[in-house]
Amino acid sequence: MSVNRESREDASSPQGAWGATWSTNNYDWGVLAPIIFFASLIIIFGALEPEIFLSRENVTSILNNGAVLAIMACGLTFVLAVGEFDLSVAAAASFGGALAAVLVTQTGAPFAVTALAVAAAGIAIGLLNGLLVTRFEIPALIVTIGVSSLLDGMTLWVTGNSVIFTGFTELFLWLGGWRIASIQAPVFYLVFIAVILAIVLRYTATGRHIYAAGGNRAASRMAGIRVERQVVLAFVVAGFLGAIAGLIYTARQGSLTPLFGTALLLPTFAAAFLGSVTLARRRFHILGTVIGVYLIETGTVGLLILGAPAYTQQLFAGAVLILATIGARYRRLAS
Amino acid sequence: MTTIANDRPVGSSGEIVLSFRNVSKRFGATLAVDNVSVDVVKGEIHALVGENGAGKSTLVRILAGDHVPDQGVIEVNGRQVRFRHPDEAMTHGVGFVHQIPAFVPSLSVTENLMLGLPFKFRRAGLIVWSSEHESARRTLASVGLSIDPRKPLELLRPHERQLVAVARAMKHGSRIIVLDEVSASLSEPEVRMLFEKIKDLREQDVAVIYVSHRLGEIFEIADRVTIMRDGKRIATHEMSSISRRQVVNEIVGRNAEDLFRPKQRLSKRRGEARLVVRNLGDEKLNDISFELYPGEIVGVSGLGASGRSRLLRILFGAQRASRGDIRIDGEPCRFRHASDALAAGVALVTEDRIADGFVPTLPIWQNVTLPWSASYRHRGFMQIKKEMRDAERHCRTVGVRMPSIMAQMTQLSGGNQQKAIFARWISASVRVLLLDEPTHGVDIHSKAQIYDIIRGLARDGCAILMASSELEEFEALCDRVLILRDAWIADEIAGSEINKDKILHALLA
Repeated sequence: MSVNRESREDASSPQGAWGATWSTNNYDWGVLAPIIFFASLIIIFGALEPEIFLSRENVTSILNNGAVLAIMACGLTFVLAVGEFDLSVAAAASFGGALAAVLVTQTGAPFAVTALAVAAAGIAIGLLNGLLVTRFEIPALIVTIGVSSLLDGMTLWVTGNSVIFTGFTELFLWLGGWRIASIQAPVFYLVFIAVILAIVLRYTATGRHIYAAGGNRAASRMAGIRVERQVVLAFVVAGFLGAIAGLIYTARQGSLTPLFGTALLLPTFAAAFLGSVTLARRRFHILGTVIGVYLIETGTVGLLILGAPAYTQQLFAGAVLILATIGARYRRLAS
Repeated sequence: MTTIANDRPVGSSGEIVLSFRNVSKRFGATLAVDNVSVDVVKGEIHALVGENGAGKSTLVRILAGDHVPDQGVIEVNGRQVRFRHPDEAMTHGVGFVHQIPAFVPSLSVTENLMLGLPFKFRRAGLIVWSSEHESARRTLASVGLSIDPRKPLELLRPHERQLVAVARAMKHGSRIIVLDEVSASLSEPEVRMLFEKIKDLREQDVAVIYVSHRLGEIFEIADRVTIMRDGKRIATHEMSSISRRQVVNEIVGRNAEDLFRPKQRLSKRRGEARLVVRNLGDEKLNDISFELYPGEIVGVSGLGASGRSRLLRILFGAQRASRGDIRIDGEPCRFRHASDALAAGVALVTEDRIADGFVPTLPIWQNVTLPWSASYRHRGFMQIKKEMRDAERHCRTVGVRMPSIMAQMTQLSGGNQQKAIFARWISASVRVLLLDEPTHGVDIHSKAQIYDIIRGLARDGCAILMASSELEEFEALCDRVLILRDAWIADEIAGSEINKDKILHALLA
């Protein structure tokens, strides 16, 4: 409790909850640009299609649909914060989902065993990525592309490349499907996970060390920070959350399509990069990532409601990713 | 025939091939090259000497086109030139060989020789490798190298690479070759072999500009020497008409204004040795032994790449030594990581604060507490208020001028960044503080403040080892100065003996 008070005090101090936002005395209004963009999306879609877009069903469906993506993106945020890259989060989600589906429907393993197996697989994926990057000094881009392919291959192997839609236990389906006032379970899981991750990044020494290592690896090393450990830890967090997100997704859908995660990869990155320039000046942080996810989700759904074809989703996510990185670059040059 | 701008005209063969005319270059507040005029004649080996920061490298880089002079012109064979790229220098017959030659290590020697040149031997537009290798073999033979040009360059020994660089300059048909600290990474016999080749170049009427710290070498091969100090050309002499003593005196010069406080000998040896180093060595350092006492400020001086930084990094655990023994307060130390060193009370202020001094994405306060951030943990959470208070206090102690403790490090001036880095160690239980160029790129005012901080730390009983390329710094601060020469501690100067002149003589001995 005392800890809580301490953190709240800090959040109210001029330094604020988002660290780099306050430079000296003047607030950097640029960090609000994504929020303004988000608000204008809501206003535009709301004005054009008020009946559908602003309906309770639509709002809750946006919330529900974004949750799994947001959990993956939160994990990725750790990796990006430590200055690395993880293209395997999507494959980790595919594999986590496939493993859960196969264990539940084909072996009849109890849920606890399934969950532990998926968690262990996620951690193993993260360890593999992290150790390949730190021990063998292979660029993360290459490592995680390789690991992605390995994981996708394993996913196809365990599922026999077929959709699994029968044989799920009641408990499994309930864990993915319970709701409070039409807000589904994954949203509550997301809130729980995001709060913990945000606190870790912001209020623990681990979080500080991750940001330090991401900001200047050599200087962090000279300041006695075990940089490699932070890198491995970040990959483990991403791998773990990727696999868990896959499990939650499968439980929510009540079915599994192999390699479903692939389509989530780009929005995950777009959300995290957008988040890094939201309420912060080029800093990957959890709240920003979550906002980024829902901005993309809102934009996509809004465009679909307006009658845009399905591929608009890709166009929108791609455009957001590019604009966000340009924004980050511009902000860096400006500072 | 132009008249020669130097002090003495050179003999009858004095056809000027390269001249700097009133060249000046300013970097911020420092005039790196100050109205320098030098003529280089055909077939001579012209040495360029001066201490670190005297302006030699800047002059060379202006010639190469890396820097644009603020004033003055360069003439090659009487024609005014301004190169924008080393390529252009090459086509005008000016070749450069640097201390660490720029090569693509994974490519073959032939490919490296031809880097930036069109391949000559082609059949139906395709390269005829056998002929290219044959041609490369002949080029290498001309500098006395008999190696297989198909070998990847990375398999060559350092002097061989250096010779390949010379061969490359020759291959481009260079009539003027600049050798910049080429002997620094070479062993004695390798230097000897290289010198033979340089003398051959002179026989072929090539003009050689030889930049070096090593006076011995210059007296061995140079025909003339130009001495630089504080960006100015002090003099140009025929080697035959000048003594080593004179050259050293001209390199050192007299410092008109002493910007630093008169020496305060506050620090004194107390008690037992804090740091004892015995027979420390690796591929670049040999048999390093010394002691450091609490309250003592000891300087480490060396010219060029003498291994000053290396020594400090080894003591900090950022680099491994292959042999030797390090003890702190009698305890043997084998640091495997900087965190081990910090736990043992050994801290390092690095030379290049942009590269590894601070984290630009973290605010000042987090940078100040960075090495100790784990100690602010309370039940798993950071005590942020306490941390900020401490950081603020330390910054005030060392006099960091900043808009706010929450500001970014990048908003501070170089001097204030450096002070903020010193603020890390101010209250900490640092027993040994290693300083690598502590006032590098810092304004004169901050410099004086940093000296005060260093003296204060010593007064509090910290043992301080300081590497610097600014000799005045030793004079202002140190109780003793270790002279790092030829990979080991060749000399030691103590107490009132410490002055710039004395140190330079020891360095150049």
